[in-house]
Amino acid sequence: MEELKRSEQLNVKDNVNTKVKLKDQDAFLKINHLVVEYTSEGEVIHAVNDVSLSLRRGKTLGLVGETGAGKTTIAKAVMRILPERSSRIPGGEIEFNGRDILSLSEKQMQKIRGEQVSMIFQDPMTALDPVKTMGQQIAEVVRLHNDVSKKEAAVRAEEMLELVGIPASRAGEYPHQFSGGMKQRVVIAIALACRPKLLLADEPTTALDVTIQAQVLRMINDLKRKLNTSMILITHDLGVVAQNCDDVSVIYAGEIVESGTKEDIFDHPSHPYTIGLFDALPKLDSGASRLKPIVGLPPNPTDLPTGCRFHPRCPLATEACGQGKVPMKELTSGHFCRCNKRKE
Amino acid sequence: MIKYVIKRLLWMIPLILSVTVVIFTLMYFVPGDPARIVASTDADEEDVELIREKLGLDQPYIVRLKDYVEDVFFHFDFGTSITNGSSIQSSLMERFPRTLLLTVNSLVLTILIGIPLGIIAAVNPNTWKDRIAMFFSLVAVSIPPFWLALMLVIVFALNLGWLPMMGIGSFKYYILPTIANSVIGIAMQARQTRSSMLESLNSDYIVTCRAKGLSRKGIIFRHALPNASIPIITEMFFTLSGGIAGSLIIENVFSIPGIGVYLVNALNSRDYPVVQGTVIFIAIWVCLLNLITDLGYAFVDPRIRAGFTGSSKKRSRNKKEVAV
Repeated sequence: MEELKRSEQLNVKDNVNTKVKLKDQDAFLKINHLVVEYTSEGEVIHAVNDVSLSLRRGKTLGLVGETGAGKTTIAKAVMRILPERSSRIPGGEIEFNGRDILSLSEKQMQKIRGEQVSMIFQDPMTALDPVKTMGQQIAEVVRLHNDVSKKEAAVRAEEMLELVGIPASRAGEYPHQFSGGMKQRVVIAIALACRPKLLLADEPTTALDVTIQAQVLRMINDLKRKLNTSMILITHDLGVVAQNCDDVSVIYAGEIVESGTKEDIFDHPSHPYTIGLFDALPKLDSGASRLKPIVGLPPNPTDLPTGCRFHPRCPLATEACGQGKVPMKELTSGHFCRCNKRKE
Repeated sequence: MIKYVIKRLLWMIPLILSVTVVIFTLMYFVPGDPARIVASTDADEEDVELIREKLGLDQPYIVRLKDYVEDVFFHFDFGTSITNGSSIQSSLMERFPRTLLLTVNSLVLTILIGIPLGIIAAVNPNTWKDRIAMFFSLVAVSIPPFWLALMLVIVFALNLGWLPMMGIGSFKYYILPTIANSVIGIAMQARQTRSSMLESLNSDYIVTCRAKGLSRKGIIFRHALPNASIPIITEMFFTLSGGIAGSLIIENVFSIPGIGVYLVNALNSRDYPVVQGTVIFIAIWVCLLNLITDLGYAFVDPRIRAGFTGSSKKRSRNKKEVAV
């Protein structure tokens, strides 16, 4: 019996490995079976459950999902900036540029953060230190990772401000003197100041006005191309994904339910959740006066449903969906879906 | 900024004036006849009446109030003590430095011990370090300073004989009073620092700092502490302004001839000009501290700074418009 189990496990592992090999010859960020838990008042919150991702150099991966699906947690795990006391990574691997991120010391991580991997935060209103000038905040990251004098760092900071479209003369101003969109530009300037190899953009436009959103995204893309940066773009906005991403992973309750190229996901959405997301978008040509929402709410992460996490909300669910772990299946080359109802 | 300081200094005048009126009125209604206290015990009614006339106590309330306010505000004259006839200003000037020294010593201790304790507790929340620091501060807040002062005297002056028991003199004389006077301040500062540090450490910008690759130390001292400093400065203000109140007790226990002893003695002997003078003096001191504290806020927080300069800019612009 035991042997059987072990051989099964081995099989599963082999299976996954070959898949990974098939897809990411030149993957430069690889996340394998990442699990992240938070503890809060004695309860364990399963934020990320067995997530595997890969990202090729210079490409953009869209991470799509509802609030609380674990998107931000994945990004923070890559940077190892999860809250120290209340979070735990009980399993998984994160390989970045050939290095195992999870086994690095804090000192080594400090060298990587801000220089090789950097992050754009969701809420620009609170992401900046209110008592330091914009110039100081950009110069700080420059000085941390480059051996330059204070003056040179200040010059670099001004250049970065110009690069994101803010006059250098405003370097001496404080966050409260900037609008939300301008603050987000500064956050981007900080993130890109050291020309990182990987940029984690966590809903970079959610807190901004629609008019500014397009500008900021265009700017991120321009800079990304200029600096040849890879990017993980976290969003719940499928429009943003369509414009910016090469690959897409759809995440639900801390699990990837569907992944593939943008074309795979947009032209052949396969997982009922993905289909639900597309159905929930307003369509100008269909003439429908109401949106079609996905019924129900995302599951409580302290008490996830068994089997397919989505089955309580799924229109296709049968009793079998509530039992056993649902494996990822490859539908077409590179297009994976976690649903029993889909045939390979 | 200078405009703001001048404005605040001018605001002190009505404030001090009202303090003067209130303390004068209170002293007027306090039972007991100062003239009788001045006169010797066997003086007869006529002598007392003479003294009363000499001190101006026979004048009606409103006349006396007017005279007093005039003296204080136009001649900067607090009058003389009725018990020994010495000038109140010169007594205050002679005594205040001792009280100030005691208070500043306490402030230094709260900064050197209270703030680091608070920081240690805040960066290690719910660990043994935090628990010990907070337990210490709970105990320290609960100790009455006069009791602590007496215990310190018993242990270090009487039993061990390491330090002098009372009086003033060299640096050694201030050690016990400073400790007794600052323990509550240290504990309060530790608690205040802890809670405001915890708040700033949980802010989003701290995550940004971590993402930049800043070290723990850099995050704590370059970002979290400056952002947590407003409540810390407020607590320093309380140490300095409360230092006078604390000195009433501590100076009496250690027989330090400062403002506190002066005020308590004056109260006991119904030396009303001294009480009035000292209270007004303390009021001026607290007002000045308040101003310094507000300037301290502006120094650490650009948003408050902007409030000061912004308002004066607006005003000057308005004035120009009027002129045009």
